[in-house]
Amino acid sequence: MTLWLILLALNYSSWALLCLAVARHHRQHFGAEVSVRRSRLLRLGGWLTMLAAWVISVHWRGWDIGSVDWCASWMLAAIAWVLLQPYRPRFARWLAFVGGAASLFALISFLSPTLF
Amino acid sequence: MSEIPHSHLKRRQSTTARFRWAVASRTAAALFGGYLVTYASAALLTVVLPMSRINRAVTASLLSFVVWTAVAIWVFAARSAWRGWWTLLVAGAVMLVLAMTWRDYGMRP
Amino acid sequence: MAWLHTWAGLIVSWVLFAIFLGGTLACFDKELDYWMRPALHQLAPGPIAMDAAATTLREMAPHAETLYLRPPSARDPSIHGFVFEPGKPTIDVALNPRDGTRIPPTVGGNFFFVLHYNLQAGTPGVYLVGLAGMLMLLALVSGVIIHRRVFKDFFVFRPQAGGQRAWLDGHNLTGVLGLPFHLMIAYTGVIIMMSTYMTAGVQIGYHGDLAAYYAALSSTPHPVEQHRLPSRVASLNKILHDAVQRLGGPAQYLEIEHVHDASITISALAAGNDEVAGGRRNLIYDGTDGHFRGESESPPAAYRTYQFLSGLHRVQFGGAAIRWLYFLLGTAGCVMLATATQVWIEKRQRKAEAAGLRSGYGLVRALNIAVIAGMPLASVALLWANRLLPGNLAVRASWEAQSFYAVWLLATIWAVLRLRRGKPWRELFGMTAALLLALPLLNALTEPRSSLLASIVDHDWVLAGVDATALALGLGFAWLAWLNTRPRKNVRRDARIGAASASSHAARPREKSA
Repeated sequence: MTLWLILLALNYSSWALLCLAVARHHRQHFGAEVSVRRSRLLRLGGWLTMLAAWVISVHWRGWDIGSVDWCASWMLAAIAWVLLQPYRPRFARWLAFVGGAASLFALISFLSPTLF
Repeated sequence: MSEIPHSHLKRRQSTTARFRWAVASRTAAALFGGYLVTYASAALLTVVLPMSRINRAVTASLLSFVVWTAVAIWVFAARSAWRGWWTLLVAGAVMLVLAMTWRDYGMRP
Repeated sequence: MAWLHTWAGLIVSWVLFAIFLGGTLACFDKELDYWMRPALHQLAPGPIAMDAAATTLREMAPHAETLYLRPPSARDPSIHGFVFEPGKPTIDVALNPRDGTRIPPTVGGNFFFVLHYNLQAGTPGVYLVGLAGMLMLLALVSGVIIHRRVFKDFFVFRPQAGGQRAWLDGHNLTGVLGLPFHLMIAYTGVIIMMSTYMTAGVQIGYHGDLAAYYAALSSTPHPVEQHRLPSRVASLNKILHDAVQRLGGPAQYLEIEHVHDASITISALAAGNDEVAGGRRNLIYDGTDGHFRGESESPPAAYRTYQFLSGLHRVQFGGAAIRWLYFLLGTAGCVMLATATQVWIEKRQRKAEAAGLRSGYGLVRALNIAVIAGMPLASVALLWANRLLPGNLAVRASWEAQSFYAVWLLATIWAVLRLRRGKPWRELFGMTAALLLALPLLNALTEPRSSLLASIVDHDWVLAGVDATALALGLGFAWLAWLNTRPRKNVRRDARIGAASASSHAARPREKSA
């Protein structure tokens, strides 16, 4: 169950980052033009989060089922972000931030016994 | 891929009856001509693929639906319905004849 | 190619909608099976009566050579018996796992599964579904090629734009974001039945000998007949127990071959729920004394690929969570198809209004409502019929199915009659919502020991899940009905986002092709 939430939250955050990296959507959300540097950072963050979600999924469930899990939650997260965005933009961004932060925290607390 | 025939068709969209016949003809070509080419390609692949017999038969069947998709889309992008028809019929017939000629080779284990 | 995408249009969308909704519900076919068989609820703990079940099955099909028994699983506690005899209807019965007796019949969640692969129309239905699946594959690939622009508008959804624009956004949203799923489902869907649709491999490689082809696929050699009766028959209970030990996990089926011959052989196929491609290990036992003979070889590599692809489609792996994801993505597919028909209809609205009422456009609109709002209503009616029909009725299963069709027909008539005066969308969605929300109540009244409350107390999460899902879906349909009561242009909630996308919408050239 935790794995599903982590997967959904990470994929959701990665879509949010990738979306905000697009000039048009950045303008919609923040009313300001996005700088090239900021756009590049957002995009990189988005792809890395997505990759991290896949690695976690495969690590936990094996390459075949893990990839299916990741792919399904990846699509659902995208639909969730795109649906939330026009109705509740602030909540959509807040969810991406909190979800991403919480799942990173959960991951670190999972891994810490093996790390230290 | 679709640019030229697309604009080509747009112009005709006003002459509705003719447009509808063109659609019907291409649809029939994609379904029946497409199935012929697909069937023939699966038959030929069952003969030529470098694997054991059961693997050849299954792989050919798995690939056949990809072939059908590609062929059907090509028909709708082809310059004319007529051109789509004869290309499919010739390609299908050639592959089928080849497969039937080497049928015994296709039955190797 | 835009016309290929549009042409694969209305009627195919309706057929595909029925297939998609059936498939989405069939994600939980076994859970629905269980819900629809109250005789299985609150079973006393005890051993699994595989031998008694085999006896029942043998009495039902005295001449069958091969019997299949599916032992109880976490999703469905019944023993399922299957017999496939050429020229006779397939036997598929649920048996009581404690004494092997038959359970009062029901179509079960299996109804939706059959609807999904042949529209309840036998072999012609299998071909029709295959054709629809192929057309979906074509619509998806041509959709990607002609709508390359939608990838640029990946994150765009403008509900406030209203009318066709919003429907098209909704179609693109569910179509593009769910694209990997839809492509996979369409391709693996036609693949599953490939030996029916594409016979070239068998014709050329095996001279059309289907039996030889299947024999090559299954790596288990068939036993040689000895033409005398078996001296004794081994205990299936013991064999199942041994197989579970050796496999280190559950068995999916026991196959009993040569039932009436001394060469009787029993094999146990691993469930393999931890692999997408499903079980690969197959244990073989002697059917007379039950000793373990050995394990069959792995299936051929290409066939393993086939099993992987069909496994992706049938989601028997990875537990309930992945089935929920498929359920949600299947719902997204239903929305993609429903919005597609809506775009198709709105595009033609002006033309049809000019042509007047006799253009048949009204009928098309009514039929669209009948398919998209009527089928969910009929599906819930099936569950109601299951609880309302008396349990000892011999023809119960067929009455359940007929109530599904009857309600769908009534919904169609309703949509036709109410199209001009009433609001058939809202009314049918509202009825579906009411039936769904009242389903746990009906369940509690007719089967008090299976009620939502009782199943939560018993920790029976499968049973509680069906009732809880009915409540959640009921709220969803109530929301849909409520959406249809409001005038469409007043959806704007967030002024800033709305203004920004409205202006960018105006600046863009209108998309012509849908």
